[in-house]
Amino acid sequence: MGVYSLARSGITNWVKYSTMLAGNPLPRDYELISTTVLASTTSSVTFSGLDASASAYKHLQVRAVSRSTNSGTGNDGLWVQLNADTGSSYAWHRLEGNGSSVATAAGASTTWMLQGLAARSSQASGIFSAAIIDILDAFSSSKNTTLKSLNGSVTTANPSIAFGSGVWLNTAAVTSLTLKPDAGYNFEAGSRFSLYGLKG
Amino acid sequence: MPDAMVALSTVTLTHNFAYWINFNNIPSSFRDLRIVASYKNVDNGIQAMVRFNGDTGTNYFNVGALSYASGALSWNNNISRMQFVNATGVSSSEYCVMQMDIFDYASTDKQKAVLARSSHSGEEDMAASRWGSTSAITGIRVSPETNTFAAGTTISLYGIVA
Repeated sequence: MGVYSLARSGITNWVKYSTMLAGNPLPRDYELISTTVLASTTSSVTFSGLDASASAYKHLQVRAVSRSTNSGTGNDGLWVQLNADTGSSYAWHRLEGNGSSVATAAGASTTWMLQGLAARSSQASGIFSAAIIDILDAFSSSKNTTLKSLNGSVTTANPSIAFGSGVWLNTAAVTSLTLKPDAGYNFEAGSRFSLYGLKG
Repeated sequence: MPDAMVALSTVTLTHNFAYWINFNNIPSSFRDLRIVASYKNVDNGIQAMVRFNGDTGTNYFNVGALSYASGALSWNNNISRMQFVNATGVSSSEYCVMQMDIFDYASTDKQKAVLARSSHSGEEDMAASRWGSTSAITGIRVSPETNTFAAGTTISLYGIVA
């Protein structure tokens, strides 16, 4: 192959770019970062390294279907912790309909935030709870991180639909996010957790 | 990297429509589905309903909570459909809005979990539903409970990537 001079190649419709990234696919506004589908029972699920993989995003969203190994009736909670902060650094609130009445619940100075439910293993096979959890301004270093959720569980004895909110009383940027069921129990196989990034 | 939400189909009614809107042959390549709807009925009443795969059996388990002028309440049922905010009392130029997320719709080992919000100026609803089938969802039907969808009703289907 010979060496060609571009000035003499006869190219007429050329465009000059000032970056070596020219021609690379453009990032999108709502992107899948990671999905975990559990192949076996697991005590918790953690999305880590978010500072490296997600700092280009403004907000994060978790979409989850979950089921707990707890054999009791009803639902486990779906609990969220940020940056492995195990201190009493969280508060949460919940507005819930249980099929009969509307009620509220709240926690303050807690070590986890309640942001959904996980159907218990006493439920028929294939029944999972669902949640959409938004982590807003996740990478701000001047705000306590706030969360909101829409979550529900249509189990036989304890149906539930709820709005949830939470706050991590720390202004650090989010670097990891952990989800777990009630203490002492695990997520069942088939539980799925997907993390999405939203640009702002 | 592709956008994680892909528009699959949109139907906008240019005239009153007394039947249902079907989304058929839904590809199995996404993780979740989202329906976004702006709808009303000709008589400004009744609800929109959603069914999967043409299933008209009592295989839908629903729980909801709503707020309206008289306060708030919660309900649950096991009926032949999922249903959304009742448009009764809505002004002639107002449309109800609804957003519904269907999780792991293509799975064959899960009953299908659904979360939805619907509202108009006089009522706000949230609902969770479960379709008691482990079949993959290949079709979705959106219809008025009775009567007719009004012109201007728009219903869109999105896929959320796996």
